Order: sequence, then C-alpha cells, then structure tokens
Amino acid sequence: MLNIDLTGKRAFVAGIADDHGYGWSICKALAAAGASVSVGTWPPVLGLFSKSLERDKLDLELPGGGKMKIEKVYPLDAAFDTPEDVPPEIRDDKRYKELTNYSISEVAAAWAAEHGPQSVDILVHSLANGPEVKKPLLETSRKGYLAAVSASAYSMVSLVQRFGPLMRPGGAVVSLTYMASERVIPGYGGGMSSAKAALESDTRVLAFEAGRKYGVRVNTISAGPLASRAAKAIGTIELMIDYYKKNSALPENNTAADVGNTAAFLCSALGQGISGTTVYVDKGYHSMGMEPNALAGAAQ
Amino acid sequence: MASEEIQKKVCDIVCKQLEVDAAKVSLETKFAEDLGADSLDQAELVMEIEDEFDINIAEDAEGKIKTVGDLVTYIDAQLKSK
Ligand SMILES: NC(=O)c1ccc[n+]([C@@H]2O[C@H](COP(=O)([O-])OP(=O)(O)OC[C@H]3O[C@@H](n4cnc5c(N)ncnc54)[C@H](O)[C@@H]3O)[C@@H](O)[C@H]2O)c1
Repeated sequence: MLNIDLTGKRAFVAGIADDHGYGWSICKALAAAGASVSVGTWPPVLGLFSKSLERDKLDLELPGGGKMKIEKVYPLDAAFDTPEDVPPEIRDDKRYKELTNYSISEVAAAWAAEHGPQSVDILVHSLANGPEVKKPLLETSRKGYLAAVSASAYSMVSLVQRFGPLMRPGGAVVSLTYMASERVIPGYGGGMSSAKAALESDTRVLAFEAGRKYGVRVNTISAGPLASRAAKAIGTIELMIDYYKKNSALPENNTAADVGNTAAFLCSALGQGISGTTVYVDKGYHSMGMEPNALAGAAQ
Repeated sequence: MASEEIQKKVCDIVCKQLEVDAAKVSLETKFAEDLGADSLDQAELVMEIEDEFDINIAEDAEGKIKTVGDLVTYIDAQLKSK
C-alpha cells in the first residue's frame, strides 16, 4: 500500500493559536503521518493558546486514533526578523514584555541550539495579517498595505532564509494562500490580495533558490474558505462558505482536513517531484467560469 | 451558588485578568469601555470564567455580555440550568 510516512521527520508549523485554522489541521495530518510537530505562536495569542493546551481544551484527536503531541510552542512574531526590528511600543506591550526571542532569527537560533544543524524536515507557514483587510484597496493606506505584505508574505521569505540552513535535503516548505491573489474577491482588501500574489510568486522563486541551495521543495496551497479565527475577523466568512459550496465543481464544504492531508502529501516522499507550485484545495472552485445555476431557467 | 458569591468570584477573576483594582469594578462596569478589555482580554476572561464555574459560555452570548453584571447574570442562569 502507498502510505504517507513521515516517521522520524521534524516539523515546525508557524501560525498556530487555536484548533480551528488550517495550521492546526496541518499539524494533525503531519502528526498522524508520524512527524514530530512544534509550533510558532504569535505573542498576543500565546497566553490563550498555552492555557487551552494546558487545560486540554483543544482537539488533539488524530484521524487514525491516538492524540497529537505538540513538542514545543515557540513564541513567534513573523513580522520581525531580528530583535532590533521590534519597536519599543511592541516590546513593552503587556503581551510581549515577558517574552524574548520571538523574532524569526531568534526562533531559528533557539531551534538550532536545541536540535542541532540539519534538524528540520518540514516548514509550514500558516499565518497572515492585514490590519486594513476590511478596507478596499482603493482606501488602503501605504502603511496598511505594507503591513499586510510584511506579515503575510515577507514572513515566508524570512522563514525560509533562517530555517533553510537548518533543513535536511529532501525537506519541504508549505504555505497557505488564497485565490484572491489572481482573481478579484470583493472584501479581501487591505493589500491582502497583493500579499497573496507576492507569496505565490515568492513560492516559485524560493523553490528554485532554496531548491538549489538546500535541496528542499517549496509549494503553496490555495485553500477555499474556512471559518477560522482569522477569517471570522473579516466578517463575511459564512456567506463565502455558502457561496463556494453552491458554486464549486464539487458542491461540498471545504474542510480543514483536506488541506492538512494535502500538506502532508506535499511534504512526504510521495510529493518529491512537486516544487514551485500553487496547489488548489478548494473543491474545484478555482476552475469554474460561471455560476452553475446561472442558466438554470433556460436549460429546459 | 449564591449570586453574591458568583459576583465576588467574577470580580476576583476580572481584577486579576485585566490587572485592575477591585475598587474600579462594580456590576455596572463595562469590560471594553471602562476596563479597556480588547477582544483577546475578553477571550482569556471567558476561558478563566468557564474554568472557574465549569460552564460553557456560548459564542453568541459573548457579544451580549457587556458589563460585569451581565456576566454574573449569565453565570447564574447557567449554573441554575445545570
Ligand atoms: N480561512 C480561510 O478561509 C483561508 C482561505 C485561504 C487561505 N487561508 C490562509 O491560511 C492561513 C492560516 O489562516 P487561517 O484562516 O487558518 O486562520 P488562523 O487564525 O488559524 O491562522 C492565522 C494565524 O496567523 C497568526 N499570525 C498573525 N500575525 C502573525 C505574526 N505577525 N506572526 C506570527 N503569527 C501571526 C495568528 O495568530 C493566527 O494563529 C493564512 O495564510 C490564511 O491567509 C485561509
């Protein structure tokens, strides 16, 4: 039987704060395939996440039975590459002031100190932030736009820069993107569409550069809508989910598990030939060119 | 549990979680306006309350709980319907 086997592989999944998002389902799929999983959590939500983990409030149940174990939770703010990048008002914020070593280079250094060189097989980027996401591009400020691209796209470049040297050849990087990068999705504003376009382009370039330099593969998954905490903040996610279900090739809801399983496949030896690609996991929505019911009246 | 006891416990948790003085907290106190609680503070508060009283605060109720008094009333109702 053909199996996704990640036994002995070590994964770092950046962008975990609860059990509702795509990152969580990726952790679960990787763990179910045998990988050891550590996560990076944004400082503002670290307290909440650690508490729910301690109090056993998260869905750790693995599909094949058993429970997922999170090896370690690293505080990570992917908007900062080095401690010098952190402005004083963030450093002194009540949710940051007790923490250190949360910039990307420091997390990579902490990882290297604990696990040694050549100790990462799988790197997952499942984070995004666009402070002005609710504003149309026509009303987005330069600051909001750059913040979206910094937190949601450059963060991936920086993660590969810092973790690439720690990756074992044959390893894989996966990120999450959204089709608003290439088609117009009203409501996905604030420069988030631009950030996703950058992320997809960077995926191709990094696949080449990190492929040659570290022997790793880089892909991104373009996922359909999911009612994660981040998506709920946009405010229209339930309508999006309905719309997708009606208008996709397969009239079904997207599931987080589909995305998790695809990520596990891409990171496994079975995905060895795939790099630099945007893989759609959206029940075929992206390939539609017309609402299926648009001509329903005329069909008979 | 008597309503006064609920109130006392809620007050303790609110003071600890939001780092405010007990003197500033009454039944009329509004979480957001008076105590400056943002959505993360509120999520953490919900978790502490759920733990302390062993209840579940429904997501749609969270939006309606604006004051300390609202929270006490909600907890009271939850405990009674147990
Ligand atoms: N939910 C959807 O409908 C959907 C669709 C397509 C793609 N995606 C993408 O999936 C990925 C995961 O999002 P999700 O929807 O599962 O929501 P989520 O809330 O589970 O994940 C987003 C995470 O990003 C973290 N984050 C934000 N800013 C950060 C920073 N500066 N440093 C570190 N972490 C930070 C948040 O704390 C959160 O944990 C994102 O890239 C998102 O754009 C989501």
